[in-house]
Amino acid sequence: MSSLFADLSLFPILLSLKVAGVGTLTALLLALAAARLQARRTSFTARILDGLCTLPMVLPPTVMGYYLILLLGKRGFLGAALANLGIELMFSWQGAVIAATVVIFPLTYKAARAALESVDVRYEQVARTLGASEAKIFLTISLPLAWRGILAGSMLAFARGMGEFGATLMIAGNIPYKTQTLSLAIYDAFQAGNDDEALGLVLLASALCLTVLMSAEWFIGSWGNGHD
Amino acid sequence: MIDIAVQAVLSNRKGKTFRLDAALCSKARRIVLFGASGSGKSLTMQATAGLLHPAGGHVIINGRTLFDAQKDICVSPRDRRIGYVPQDFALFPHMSALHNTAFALTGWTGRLSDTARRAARALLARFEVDHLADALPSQMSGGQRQRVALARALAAEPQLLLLDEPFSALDPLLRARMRVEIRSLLDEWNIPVMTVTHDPEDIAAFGDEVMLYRKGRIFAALDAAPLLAGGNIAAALLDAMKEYDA
Repeated sequence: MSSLFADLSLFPILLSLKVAGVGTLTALLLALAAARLQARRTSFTARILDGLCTLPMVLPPTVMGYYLILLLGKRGFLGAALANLGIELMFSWQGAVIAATVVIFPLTYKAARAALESVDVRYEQVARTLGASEAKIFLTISLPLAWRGILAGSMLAFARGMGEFGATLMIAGNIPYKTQTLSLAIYDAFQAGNDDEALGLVLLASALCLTVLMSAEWFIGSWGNGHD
Repeated sequence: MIDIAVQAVLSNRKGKTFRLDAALCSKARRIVLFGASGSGKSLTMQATAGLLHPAGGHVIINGRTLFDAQKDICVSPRDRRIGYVPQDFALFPHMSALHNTAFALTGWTGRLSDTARRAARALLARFEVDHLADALPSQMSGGQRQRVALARALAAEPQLLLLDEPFSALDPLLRARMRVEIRSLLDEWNIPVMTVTHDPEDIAAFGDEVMLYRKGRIFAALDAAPLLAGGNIAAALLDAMKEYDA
């Protein structure tokens, strides 16, 4: 068993943690804004926007990757402009973060929207009669009361981000010691016939994701007591 | 002077519509909106607070126009200065009594200044619940929650206080006691109070004038004193209603 982990490079694991971590934070901020705008809206436009926000969850990651290339590639709308500024997102770890962010955004958005909508509307109404602005209501009422659900969604998103493969491969490629994340390293090792390395990484990935999920459960359970 | 007229048509999910067309104009300091549940009392109250946008009518409190459909005036609830205490008080469950009370006195981040803290403590003391300053709503009794909810509403210095079924969330024994206590506490504040209720006993404590609701309309405005004179408010109310049916 010791030989299994002896030659293992930690780089893909650390990169995956970094990509999933930064991606989750970015997705969380975007999701909070979108969920705040969309919460309790049922109009036709709101439904279309809701569908668009959820789409990355059901589309194949390669489709999302392709869209991102159209956007961020050398000849893409945004990619060309960024290239002029000397910013190159393709084949960089930042590119991998963008891929992860887009793929996990729906998980954080869905969780945030459900959590915000579960806050009793009367608290917001009373706050309004007490002179509170919408920003104050969001910061001091909605967010603290919805935090549990938002956190649960973020943890799930982080775990999902750890395993991102398709979109990352298309945007960031599979460059060892640069953009090779955990799941890409496993695929590489398996393809190259390095079964020991693949198995070691697989076990590590499993343990890591299990830890994230279990600590999420524990954290949310112990933190949320007394707030119902 | 309270001058309110609200017209609204609301439909529920089953497509059943409810037509609200209520008007009241009163100089009384304590007004009770009385009627069966679903007769439009609470909707009138929500329209007054600005939580419901009526199709027509107006809301004028002490000469200040808060809503006027024809003139296209609609002051947002945060600028109306109308205190609203809902049925089960809706204290913010994650905030202590002190933070709840100080809510109207804090900035947009909710940070408590020393002035706000002192003011909130003084209010809690006037409602005799300052020993609960650090308690969460889940740690308080129904009566204590009601006191904190009133303190929270009055901290914003409203020009009108709305009480929605103030005692229905309390158990019957506590209800009678709270009615007397809250009444004498509110007497210290010289602001008009509008109470929604379907409990005749509330009229004794909170009514100078009674608006009788039926099917979305106010069909009578009665002076409370004659109703209370006989000692049996419920019977006096029934008699008064019969007169209007005839």
